[in-house]
Amino acid sequence: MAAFNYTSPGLGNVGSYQVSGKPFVSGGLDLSNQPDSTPFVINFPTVTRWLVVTNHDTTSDGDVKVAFSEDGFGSNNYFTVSRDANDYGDTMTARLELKVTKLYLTGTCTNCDVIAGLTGIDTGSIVNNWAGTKGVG
Amino acid sequence: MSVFNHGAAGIGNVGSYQVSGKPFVSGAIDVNDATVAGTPLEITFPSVTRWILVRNLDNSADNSKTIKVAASATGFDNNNFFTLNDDYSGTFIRKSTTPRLELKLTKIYLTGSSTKVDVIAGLTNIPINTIPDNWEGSDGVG
Repeated sequence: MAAFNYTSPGLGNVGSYQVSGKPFVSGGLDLSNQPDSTPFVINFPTVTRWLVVTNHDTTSDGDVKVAFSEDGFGSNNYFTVSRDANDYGDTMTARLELKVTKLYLTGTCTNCDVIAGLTGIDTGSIVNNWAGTKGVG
Repeated sequence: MSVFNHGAAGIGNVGSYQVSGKPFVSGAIDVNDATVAGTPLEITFPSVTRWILVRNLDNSADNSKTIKVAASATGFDNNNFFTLNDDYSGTFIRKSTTPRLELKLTKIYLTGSSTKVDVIAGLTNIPINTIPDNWEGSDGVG
């Protein structure tokens, strides 16, 4: 008997980005022992629809750097989420609508969160999380 | 045998703006150093953007580390730019991050005295040649 099986949606499947995401949260991250040469890596189970990074650290030197490849830190393809200076700093990114499979974090932050909305798209549809491309490093 | 190849998506391809973007980050930019000769710093994206976000992480007590952002080099002369304050004065917080600006661009231009600026973008797969001159010369761009 013939069987009909749905295949996994592809990277350009519009509907996967129009529905709300499946939640992914990694909170209370301590990056104080993560130099640029050894970043903390978050592996998303599926391709992201969006992501947000929050820095709750209030110490004098508690920034977090965020990149999409390990080499991004050496090539200035990263952005910084500053510490929560005096408890009223700008410490949360906007909702970044990016399709990625990994996130690389370094810095001295002792308390940061990563929140993401996930699609149902397999991570295998993005080879190396865009590593080596312009703007990622 | 004939072969069917999909062409690249065009500038008006709706689906390209509905899916999430491919990441692009240029971080810790010293705009002050890059523009010391009076020429704006040009950032060229590898494909058309779906959105951009600019952050000014420098700080000062007198808001002296601002940056200006334009979509063309001549935009600074025609008031076709916006200003992003620096981060922190010691007494109040300034608005130092743009919202996610959903703009289709191939370049942005920066000037100013900030030594620490991040540019984050979500890219489409649309080739940059679909926007000749990055809208330069059009009303609102300069």
